[in-house]
Amino acid sequence: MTEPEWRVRVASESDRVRLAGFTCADRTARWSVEVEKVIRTQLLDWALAPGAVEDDPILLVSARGSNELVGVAAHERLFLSINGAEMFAATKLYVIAVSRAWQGRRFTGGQRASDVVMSAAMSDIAERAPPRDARVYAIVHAQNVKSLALCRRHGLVHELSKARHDEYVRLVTEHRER
Amino acid sequence: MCARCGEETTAASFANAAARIEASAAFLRLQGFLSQSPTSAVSSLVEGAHVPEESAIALVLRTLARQTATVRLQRRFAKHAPAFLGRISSSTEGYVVVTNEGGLSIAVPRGLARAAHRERIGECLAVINSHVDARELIVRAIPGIDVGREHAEPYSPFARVDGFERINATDAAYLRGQPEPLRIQIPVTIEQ
Repeated sequence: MTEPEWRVRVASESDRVRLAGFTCADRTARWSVEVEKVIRTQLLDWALAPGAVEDDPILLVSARGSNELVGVAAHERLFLSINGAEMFAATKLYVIAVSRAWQGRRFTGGQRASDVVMSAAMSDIAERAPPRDARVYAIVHAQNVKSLALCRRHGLVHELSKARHDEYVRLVTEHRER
Repeated sequence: MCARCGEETTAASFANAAARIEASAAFLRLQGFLSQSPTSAVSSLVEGAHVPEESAIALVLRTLARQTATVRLQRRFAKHAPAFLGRISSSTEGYVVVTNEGGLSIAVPRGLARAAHRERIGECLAVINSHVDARELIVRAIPGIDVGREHAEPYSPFARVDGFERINATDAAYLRGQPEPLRIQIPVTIEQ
């Protein structure tokens, strides 16, 4: 069996410089610049913080041959609730980002780079113990049509009520009526 | 709190964050104000007594409160913040009800709220619970400072939520359903 053209591993302190140079933003969109800024300046500190290091990892997807960083994925556990009385455990896709150089590109096997990054996050969520894959949730800017499409391809198909800011859409994985 | 729990790194980060705030222009203005005020005024301020909303000292306190809130919501610190922060939403003779931004409410003995100079509806109050053991709890009421909505941080999808992400009744009805299995489109092995 041939190896995939990508590698996925958990980020560590030694990746700080690499993440600080990660480029994914469309400079014309504030919301896109914010994603890049968070990855460059905050993500590693948050992921390595006490209490978060085991639960909320950063996954790095790189090209196997060149070791070029293709994308970054991070997720965290949270609760959804109306008023704190009834809590729905969920996993938030904190960041899913593909580097500028890989945006819109596919691996030679035909897989979209964005699908590999998203699949890395979903695989990690699915394998967590205790389980945390019941609900996966994401907040996406309404103008970020590529990310909205990516979320929908991976099952985040239901739109929740608006976040506190109307510019953002909250998507969650599908539920069937009991 | 972190030092007591043996979390040296986080305690040091807390101390560094506090040092940065203490080196800020707002903190220097506070020091200047306190050094020129009579002891009674300083004591009153430290205990949380109200100051006129548009006074210079109120503006300085709001600036410092915003800086502190920004630090507190950072992920590395959020998990160590035992405070319940909210506004007094109702009161009786014996207690006040404090409700946070997520809609969660707790009752606080009125005497504690009074000691913190916060017992009127709409006022901000923080409550810190420290467990002594399984059956004993120390409750501390801290006067809150209203930083004002006009000064609130702009919305960010990366902001840490305090307790839970808020949804509405329609969302909750949907989430009570049976979650479908996750779709993993591409098999991925994560190297450890």
